[in-house]
Amino acid sequence: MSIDRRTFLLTGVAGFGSIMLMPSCVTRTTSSWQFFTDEEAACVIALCEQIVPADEHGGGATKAGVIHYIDRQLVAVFDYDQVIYQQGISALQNSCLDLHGKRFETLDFDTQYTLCTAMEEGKLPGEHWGELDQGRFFRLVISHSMQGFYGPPRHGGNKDYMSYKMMDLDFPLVVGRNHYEHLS
Amino acid sequence: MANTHVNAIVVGAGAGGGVVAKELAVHGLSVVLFERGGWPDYDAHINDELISQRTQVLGSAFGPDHRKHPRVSIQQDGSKQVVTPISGDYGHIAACVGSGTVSYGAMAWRFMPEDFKLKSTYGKVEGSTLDDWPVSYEDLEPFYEKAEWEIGVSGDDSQNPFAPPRKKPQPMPPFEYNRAGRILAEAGSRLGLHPFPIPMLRNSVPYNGRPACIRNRTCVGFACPVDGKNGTHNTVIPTAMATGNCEVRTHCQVAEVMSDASGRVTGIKYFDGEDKGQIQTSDLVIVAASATETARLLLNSKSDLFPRGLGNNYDWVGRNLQGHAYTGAVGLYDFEITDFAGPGASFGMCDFNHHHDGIVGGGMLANEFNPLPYLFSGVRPPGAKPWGREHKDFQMKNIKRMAVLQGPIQEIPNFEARVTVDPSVKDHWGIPVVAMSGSRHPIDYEHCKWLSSKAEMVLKEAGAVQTWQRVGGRGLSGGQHQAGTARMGNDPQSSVCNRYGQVHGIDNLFVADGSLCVTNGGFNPVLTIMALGYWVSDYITRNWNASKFKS
Repeated sequence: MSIDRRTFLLTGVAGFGSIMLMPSCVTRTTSSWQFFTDEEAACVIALCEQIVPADEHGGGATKAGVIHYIDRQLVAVFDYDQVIYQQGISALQNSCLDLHGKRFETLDFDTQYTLCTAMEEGKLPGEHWGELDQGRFFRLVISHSMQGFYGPPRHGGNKDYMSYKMMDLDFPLVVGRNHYEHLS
Repeated sequence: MANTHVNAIVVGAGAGGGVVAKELAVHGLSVVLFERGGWPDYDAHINDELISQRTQVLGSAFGPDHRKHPRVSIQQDGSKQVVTPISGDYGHIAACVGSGTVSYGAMAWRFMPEDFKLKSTYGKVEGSTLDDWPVSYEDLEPFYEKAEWEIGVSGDDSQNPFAPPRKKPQPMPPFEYNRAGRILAEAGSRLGLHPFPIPMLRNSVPYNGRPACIRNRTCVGFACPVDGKNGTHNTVIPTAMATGNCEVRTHCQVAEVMSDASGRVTGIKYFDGEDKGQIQTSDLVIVAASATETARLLLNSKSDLFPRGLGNNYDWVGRNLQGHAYTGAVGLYDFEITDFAGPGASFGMCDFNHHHDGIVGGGMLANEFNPLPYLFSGVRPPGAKPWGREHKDFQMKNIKRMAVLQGPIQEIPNFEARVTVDPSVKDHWGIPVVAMSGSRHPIDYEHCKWLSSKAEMVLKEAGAVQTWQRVGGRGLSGGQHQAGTARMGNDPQSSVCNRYGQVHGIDNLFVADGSLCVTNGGFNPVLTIMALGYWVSDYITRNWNASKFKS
């Protein structure tokens, strides 16, 4: 599926090793998150809630803890996405301050929705984004939100299997064959 | 300490290599079966969608390790991208004992007689290297039978009027349809088509000391929790080990096949589980590492006599990379058509495999495997918003109301769709990696549009309230049905191996995987790869005592 595909520009003989094996290069001890600052997390939580909102079926990305999934993976499998998250959040916030004088997470739901649609279409003010493709950043957050919301709880999201319950996907997978696991 | 010389080295413990290791071991040859991954372990990942063989966003349940095994994908504009199993465009295939046979959907198709003679059936196709196999269906029939009985197939070909002739029935009765299978099969019958239960490498009844399938919802993409799915890891490879003649050496990355001044191969160089360089010598080497990795290994095995790699004197190694262009349609229903009885795919039809005007080959159609929640979030009608309230509402309302009918259409081989090695990009051990380039033949897309329209017709007949086509057939080929990169042929100048999988001009080097396939059928290829494993082994064991291969 195209939304899963992230590719890496070939940067020479040593490129692969240096990209893939680079340790987490950001240490920010004041945050309660593994990767995000508290301010960044507040923005991403609001963004994910736009992508998977609470509705008549039940809670959305916030309640499912999608932020925990993304935060955890950004210091693990998705470590190469750290920079795009930092730059994307910063560019989104600058866009919001420019257009509405407020940070993204403090805007009302409908305004956030309009901003997300603009970001998806590449229509937020270009001067805040520089080289960064705003549509690409948003599609990345969409992919990660879907994984966090619809993937298994063991990776930090989909708290208490809430999306599975909303889809009425019953457990166990086969009667009498459940596999319990401890969730950290 | 040097490794003890053995009769045969088999590289790759998948569908082909597992069979070869067993056949040689039971015939008394000493064998080392090399596998770059380890033994599969259900409990390590259970039914974790994000670390499965269906989607690898957080890793591959059964390998390869995305941090150690990069590849290069060469785009149409010539630009290169380093890709991994989690980034996509990788041509991913499981790296563990059993390989794809651990986590596959386990369809057990025999190719049809026409699939071995596409060129003589349909004529030349412009811009294609289309050819007949040097092996006929009749040649392979006894080996299909052997695969069905030794590895274990449930099915009943008597329900399929297009089934190729067989001497013996499949060993286990077919599975019953799940709900979508029953509803769509009835619709197919009303349209004059010929639906039947898909033959499966799963146990419909206890077989070979293992239990019957429990219809687990999460089957394809995962190992089986009760071992009711049959692969080489739980059948032929244990049999090989039980002879005392076969050692399975896991976590070993084979770097090169060695050859001597007389042009014979002498063994392999590999890296062991501690990344230490090792040498294993043997009388014979059989490469069965998948169409991408087999080509890579041959191309990386260079010497003064073989400056372009083994078997590559005429630049055919890595050429004609094929897979399957999956194509079909999606239907939404106003009732729950999916009951989640695993694995999901339950009925098939071969009405569209051959003999349709303007179509070279064709493909079978089957209902799709059970949807998985994250992957289903990517299934929406054309133009639907991929996020927000509408997207979520669709997910909650439709995951059980969707049916997909699709199939693997026969790809028409193309000389420029290929595997090369990229000397500038190395894996964890410093070995140049696979680079994939080229694209499918343009005719594939035309075939796909045709088959998708047939699928949509059946979904509508079954009462779909909305349908849309999913048309495949463009871009790079390969994928988990990868094939064709060391094709068999009678002419050494336009093929890599002879009809027995023996590399032209090198008596003691064989290939025994999908690389051999001249064309890839309109079916999932695994049973054919297993049959080829038996076919190649039969030639080796029949000629072994003549000491032709012995050093």
